[in-house]
Amino acid sequence: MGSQKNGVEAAMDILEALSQSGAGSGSALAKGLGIPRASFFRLTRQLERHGLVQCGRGTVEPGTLALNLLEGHKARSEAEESRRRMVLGEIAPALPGALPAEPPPLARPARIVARRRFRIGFANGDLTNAWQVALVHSVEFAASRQFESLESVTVMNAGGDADLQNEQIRQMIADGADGILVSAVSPRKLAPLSADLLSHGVPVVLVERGGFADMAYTSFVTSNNFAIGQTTAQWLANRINHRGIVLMLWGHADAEASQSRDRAAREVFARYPDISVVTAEPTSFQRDNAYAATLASINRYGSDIAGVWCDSGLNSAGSIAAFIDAKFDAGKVPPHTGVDINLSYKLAVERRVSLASVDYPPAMGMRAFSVLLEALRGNPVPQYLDVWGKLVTTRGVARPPGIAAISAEQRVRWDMPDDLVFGTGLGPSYSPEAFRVNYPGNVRNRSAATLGAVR
Amino acid sequence: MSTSQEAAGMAVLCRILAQLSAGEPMSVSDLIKAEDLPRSTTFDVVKRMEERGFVARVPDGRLALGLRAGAFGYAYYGLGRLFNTAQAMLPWLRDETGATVALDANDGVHFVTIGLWAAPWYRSDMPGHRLTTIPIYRSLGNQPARLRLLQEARTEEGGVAEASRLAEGIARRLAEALVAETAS
Repeated sequence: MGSQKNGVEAAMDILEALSQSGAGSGSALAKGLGIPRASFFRLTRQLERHGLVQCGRGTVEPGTLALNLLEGHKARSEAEESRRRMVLGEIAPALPGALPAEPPPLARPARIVARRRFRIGFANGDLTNAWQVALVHSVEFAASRQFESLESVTVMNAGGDADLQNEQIRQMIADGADGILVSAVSPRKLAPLSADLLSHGVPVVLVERGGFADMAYTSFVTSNNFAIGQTTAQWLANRINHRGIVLMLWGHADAEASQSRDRAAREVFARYPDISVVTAEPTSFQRDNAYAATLASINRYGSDIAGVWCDSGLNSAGSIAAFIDAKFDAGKVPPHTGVDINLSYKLAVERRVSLASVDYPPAMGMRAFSVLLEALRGNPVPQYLDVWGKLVTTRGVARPPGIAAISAEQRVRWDMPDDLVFGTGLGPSYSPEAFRVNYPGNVRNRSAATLGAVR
Repeated sequence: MSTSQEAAGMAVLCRILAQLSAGEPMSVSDLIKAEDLPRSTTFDVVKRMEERGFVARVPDGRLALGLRAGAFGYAYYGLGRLFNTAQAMLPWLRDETGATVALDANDGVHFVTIGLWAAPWYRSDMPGHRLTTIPIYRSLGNQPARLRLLQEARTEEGGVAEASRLAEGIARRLAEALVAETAS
């Protein structure tokens, strides 16, 4: 540093030092910054002339222009926020009782990427079900709405192959990606690569899957599966007056989503001694498996089944269909939970099945994309972020106190395909089949995601 | 660099910040015109300011105040050190709780709002919010700032208590940032 330093650079050093200290002795500041005293006082006098600092007897502090900067930055942030809200929609708050006890730590990328437009790579894990397609659509929608901030967005699908996913990420970096968004096939296999990218100043944002305790990443954006399990189980327990047989249908023993929701639901049911839980084999999130498991339980327990707790819409769709085929009349099918696809809503509303669901929102893709952009702009971001879905229940059913719910009758889309996923944040006209999107790097306006496609 | 060149560069730095403090992004050309700035010096100073984060480009290429300028603004109230934490955590608190969050600085006489993260339902002229105020202490008896959490009137007690607990956690974080300032 010293006397050779450019005056503008030295002035910015002084402003930064004052940001930290608020006010201080001029001599101490000059010494701390390595600026000769004479130069320091010459510079501060010039800053004072413009109102940036105020000099007292040997002291320096921010001047009145700092106040204008505060107001200017505040106005700018509010304008930016209202634009973001208009473009990407509202954010649902946490379910009551599900707020974390402590705020998450903050992450900050190692370097600020001084760019106006960013190159982003999205490494998607798989495309084997409608939810995963909706997640990609959500990310692409976010890209299309922030066109001006992007030079290019590359989407690659790994087809469930963790090694291929790592290779694809390396390829995206080699092609110049500034930041990476990942729905990880295997967080453990991704971890060394993620740590390497962070050490080179490349932010890595995980969406939906990932985020084990000692893994290095910028931010992990997901939804709170424990809260989803807890809220739906509590609704069901109340609905059946805390007694009777509850059939539990869950997706997969290896899936974190299934595990967390299942654990939370069991904790709730365990509080009621008159509730007896019957657990079916995991369904692998296959509707046919859920149908078969429910039919087997109906054959065994018949109308003694008081309620069915499902961890997902695919399971509830299979289960309700089984009750219908077992000749349970409209209004006689026991209450169900876990309904985030259109078919479940159609069946439930048509057959007057009481239900409650909290969407597992693919809109987390949209949110994760914004978090990555913020990190690239040099803004600090929370290391962990939950995207919340809303509680949906059928009409005429008591809702837990303090929870704003929407009705299934409003939500069901008779005009849309059975596998339509809700909570995408893409608006009421979203149709996975018709989805077209335009963002930098996507020249044909076609989505990178169609069911079963691997690119 | 000569003293006159240095003075010219400094003047450009200060006048750019003054212009952008109106809150409206401006192109470099408009800044040059508006302030009658020397062209080549301005481009050089803008480059340096951008690299240091005092200005940032909005998507259409115009310049706006950057994070460092915002932090210097907070420094007017001695709160520059908590700027980063506030910018990340307070919108997060708003999104999680659905509450409107305000950060107020103590100017020695009054509390002045220096940041407001409004929930979608919020209107300043709407009465009946449920208000929770959480002090931010630098040390015992020294309260340079406070957080205010405004929740919808219909929010139940449990919801108010839960959100307040989380806000207290964030107030502690902000206080820690201020203590770090003292230590540094």
